[in-house]
Parts: sequence; C-alpha cells; structure tokens
Amino acid sequence: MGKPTAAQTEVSHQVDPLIDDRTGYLQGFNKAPGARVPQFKARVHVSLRPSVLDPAGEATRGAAARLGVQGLSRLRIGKAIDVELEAADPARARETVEMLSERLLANPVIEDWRLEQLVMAPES
Amino acid sequence: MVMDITVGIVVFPGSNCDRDVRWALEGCLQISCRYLWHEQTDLSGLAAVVIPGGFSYGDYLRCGALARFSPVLEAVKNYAESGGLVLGICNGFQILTEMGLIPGALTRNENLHFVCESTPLKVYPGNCQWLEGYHHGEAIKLPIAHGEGRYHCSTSQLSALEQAGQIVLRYSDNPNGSVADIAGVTNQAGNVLGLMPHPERACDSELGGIDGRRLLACLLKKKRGLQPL
Repeated sequence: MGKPTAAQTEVSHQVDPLIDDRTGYLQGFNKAPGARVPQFKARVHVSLRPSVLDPAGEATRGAAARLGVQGLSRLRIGKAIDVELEAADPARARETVEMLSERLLANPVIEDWRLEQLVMAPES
Repeated sequence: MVMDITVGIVVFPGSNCDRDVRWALEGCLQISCRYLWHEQTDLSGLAAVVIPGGFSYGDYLRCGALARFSPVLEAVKNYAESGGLVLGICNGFQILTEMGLIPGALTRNENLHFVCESTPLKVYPGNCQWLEGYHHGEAIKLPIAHGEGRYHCSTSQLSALEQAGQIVLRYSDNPNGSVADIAGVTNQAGNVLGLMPHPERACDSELGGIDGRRLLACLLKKKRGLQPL
C-alpha cells in the first residue's frame, strides 16, 4: 500500500481533521509500516567555557567544603537541555540539534556545548 | 520648544524600564515616544530606538537569548545596520550582544550579587553618537541594577575593541567583574550603544543626579540634522 497522493490527502483533510499531515494516514489507524516519521531524543549539555569564571560553581564548591566534603578542586555548573524531535534519519536529527545548539542553546562567546546523547525514541 | 522627533521604545514581556525611559525622554526632555511591542516591525518615522532594561522573556535560557528572535528586533537590526541610532540599556545591552550588534557577552556578576547602586564611571566617547555631550575621560555617576552585567570577550576581541576605541564607558570601581572594567560598548560606526548603567534613571536632580541626561539629550542636538529612516 503506497502513501496517498497529495490530492488524496487534501481531500481527506477536509473530511477528517485527524489525518496526519506528515504521513498522510489517519492518526493511530491504518498506519502503513515505515510511514512513521522517526522520533529522536537528544540531550545537549551547555556550560561556561573553561576560560570564563563560573561564580555559581565557585560558591557551590565553597558550600561543599562547609558541608565537610574535602578535596573538590573544581566545580562547574552547566545546564542540560532535553530535546525531542522528528527527523528522517539520525544524521538529520544530529544536524538539527547541532544547529540549534550553535545558534540558540549556547552563546559561543562564553559557552561550550556538547551533544551528550542522541537516540531514536521507541515507537509508542 | 517644539520637538519634532519620535523615539521608539521596545517593549517585551518582562521589560520593566520602558516607562522609565519614556518618562526621561518625555518628562525631562520633551521628546515624544512610541512603544514598540515585541511583535511589531514598523519603525517608520523614528529618530532612534531604545531597548530598555528588564527581563525580556523572563531571561529564559540566557538573558537576551530569546529576545533576539522577536519580530521587532529583526526590524531593529536592519534599522541599526542602515545607520539608525540604537541604545540598549542593561537588558537591552545583553540583547544587543546576543543579536551580534555589539561584540562580547554579559554573564553572572563575579560576586553573584544583584548590584543596585550609584556607580562612578569614566566616559570615552570616541565616535559614539550617543555620547557626544561628554568629554574624553569625564567622570560621571549613574545608577546600575543588575545581576548579570559581567562583560566578557576574548583577549583578541578585547584588544580589537581597545584599538577601535569602542569601549566608551568604564567602571571606576568595578562592581561586577567585567573584563577591563567595561560598562558600555559602541559599534564600529558609533550609532549603536550598549551599556549596563541606567542613564534614564539619572535625568532629574530630584532623583539623585542628572549625569544620564546628556546621553539622551544627544537626540535634541540631532533633531535638526537627523532624518527619520
């Protein structure tokens, strides 16, 4: 069974708003194998560049010493950003997340980022 | 005194100095203003645009990071690149760096404190059009109120800024750990100025100083020669 043509989708759309825009099939019904757009989960870690002072990290390190934890030579605070996205394949998912990280999630003047995880989400 | 120019003041969800700027311009200098809601793009007839202080979009992600993608700032970017006068105060300065109109970035104060005080500064106007009313090396005092005002840039960027005379405002008593005591930076053309201190809060002697008044008053001097874009 092939994917419906654009015209068929158009007609179906008028009849039934439950049609899936991307696959052209009714949502959760009559789904052709392989028609699903893959879902990915990504985690991006953003932190201040090593050359940039992290005062919050330093203050936390001070609190660790007051807690009685000795020997912490370095404590840096970053943030983890979880993203769920649709993409045709892993390479395109990676491309999207990298672009997002470079242009929005991190400010390259003061921050570094790294893609910690990129996995295909299991079909629900 | 007839004032025939209008200044645009950008308003984001979370801006909180927009009314202060309007009060300073209209109340102290008789310059009429128009608020520019973040979703609009019409800057016609404006002699200058001010991006005021506050917490645009709640400062989510990073201060100024989300504002950069607002429709109004797309228009402001074009406006600045065509030579229009743009002033970014506090959160407005953070936004200008995120937009790339001013190099560098602003991040958490070194001592983690939100500093709210009057601070001594030195002005080095160079070719900055906003600072034409000040002398080179002049000492002034302006209020500051920020938690993320520590200016940072690379060493090479810093020397480029120094050489080009773009560091137009420096703290005399660095309150936040900014590199090279930087409090304000202009772009190469001198039409865009970003600064952490609040000149709009120093325009009325009743409120503890008028050192910020000459900055905004540069618009009066320009009134005759300046054509709205």
